Amino acid sequence: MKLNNIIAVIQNDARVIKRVKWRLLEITYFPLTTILIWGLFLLYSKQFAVEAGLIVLIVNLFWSFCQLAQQQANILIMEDLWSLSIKHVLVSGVSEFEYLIAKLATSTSAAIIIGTLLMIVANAFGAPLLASFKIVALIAGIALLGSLALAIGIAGTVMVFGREYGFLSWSMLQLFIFFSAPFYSPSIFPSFIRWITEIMPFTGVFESARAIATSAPVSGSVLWHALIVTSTYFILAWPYYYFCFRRARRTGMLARIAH
Amino acid sequence: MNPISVKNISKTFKSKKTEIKALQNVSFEVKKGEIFGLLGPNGAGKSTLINIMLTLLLPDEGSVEILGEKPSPDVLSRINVVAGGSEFHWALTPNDILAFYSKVYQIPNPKERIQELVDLLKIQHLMDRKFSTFSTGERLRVAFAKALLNKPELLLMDEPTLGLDPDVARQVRNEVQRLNKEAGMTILLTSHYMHEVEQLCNRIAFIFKGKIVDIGDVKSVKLKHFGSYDIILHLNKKPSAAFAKQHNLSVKEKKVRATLTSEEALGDLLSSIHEAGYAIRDIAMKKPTLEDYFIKVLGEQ
Repeated sequence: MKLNNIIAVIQNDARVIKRVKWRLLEITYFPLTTILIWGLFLLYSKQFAVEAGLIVLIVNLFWSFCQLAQQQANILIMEDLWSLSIKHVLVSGVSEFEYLIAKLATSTSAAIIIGTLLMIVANAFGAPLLASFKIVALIAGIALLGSLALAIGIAGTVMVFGREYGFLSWSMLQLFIFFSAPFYSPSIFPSFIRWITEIMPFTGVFESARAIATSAPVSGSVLWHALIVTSTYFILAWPYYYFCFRRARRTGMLARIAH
Repeated sequence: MNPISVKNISKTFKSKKTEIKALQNVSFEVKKGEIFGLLGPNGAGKSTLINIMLTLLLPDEGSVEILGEKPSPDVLSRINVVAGGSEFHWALTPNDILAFYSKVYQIPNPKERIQELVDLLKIQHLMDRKFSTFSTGERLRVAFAKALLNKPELLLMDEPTLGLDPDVARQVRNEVQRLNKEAGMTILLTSHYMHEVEQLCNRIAFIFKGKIVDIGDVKSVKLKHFGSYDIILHLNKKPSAAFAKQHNLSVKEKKVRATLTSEEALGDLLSSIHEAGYAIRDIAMKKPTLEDYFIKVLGEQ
């Protein structure tokens, strides 16, 4: 692994974000407006039920954070595919590992910067996030690991099936979030589905977020379980990515999507 | 060590309904310092071969060595590629693009090297413009600048003049020749333009339906398929029937046509004409071009 190549790709992505103004807008606009909408809902809902508004606000914050981390990595890859510039990168000596690590690093940086901004805004609306910063950071770390694992998986899938599967960059997370029981307890699902929530990467994240919102103690066992599940996703995502790249090289898909 | 060594490469693309044998037991070598042309119609397997060399594609069988090694990121950083219709991110400027690849190739004094290439390819006025605003010729010049950044030991050129104006295409050909002569750069070229291949290449391989049909220097490959060529002479007067019969000429008034099999035969014919007291007013040779060869081989296959 060459650190030089990773830094080069990160710098190049930074140039792309700098040159494409709407990218900067996209990164900040949707998460920020989401938090503003639900922050105002929180203010409004105070006269009815404070916890409901807080749950929605804090869960949305983590949701936006996960989306940023996963989507930015995949969108940066999709931009290379759409612009056909990926061929030049992959035949210049940058390995598929260095390439993906750089994309994950860029999206992680964006998620941390925007996530911090969102946290400050949510805190201003009354979400007790800065007061429990350490636990929030820990939950965010777990959420980040799960999001990056999904980004790696989506990147591999697109390499195998082609550019048409770029839609996974926007849609895949939604499915995982649905089964991770964001605003509700997993017990709300029918019993035959409930086991799925146990193996979802974000179930523990959202359960902990709801605990913060309701001022309940965040369960250590929930966090441990969440860490184990997301780590497993992250570890398994890499061999899947390599498998996909090798398969794309064998079937000719890599050559096709690079041209 | 040859810069390119391809040994028994086979590649088949399979889908549920079809099976396409893109390459069948292809072997060849490209020697150091030569310009090697890879010819063939669309779908012959040229791009498949180049993609295998660039690690974008894995062969089913056989092996490729680039600069004496199995292709790897390290080897790829010592070669480069330029293709017709080259694309970079639409929002980036040549300044951005060349800065990125300078970093990847770890170019010492990148600013100086970039300036050298900017002067060479005359792209100073493009440096701050977005790539999406460029014409085909301008895009190719940027692609060339990127391809020459790392002073590659081997340059792969896939249809480099595709879609270019004739004058820009000629500049590109001149540049290729200069790089080959002055820097001793080994070049693998694929092209549909036969005159381009004829002008540039030392040796060629003709690939058809995944197989190498012919390989060798341009002259010998053509000779293999065209044992003779025609010469048309305009004389000062109509030659006698006896003279025409003796030299196997077809005569139409003062215009005579002869079919020759060697350079010596041409000398003999011209001497005979002179000795018989005829004067030559005009002379035209119809030697087979690579294009004639291309069409003939396709017909035979």
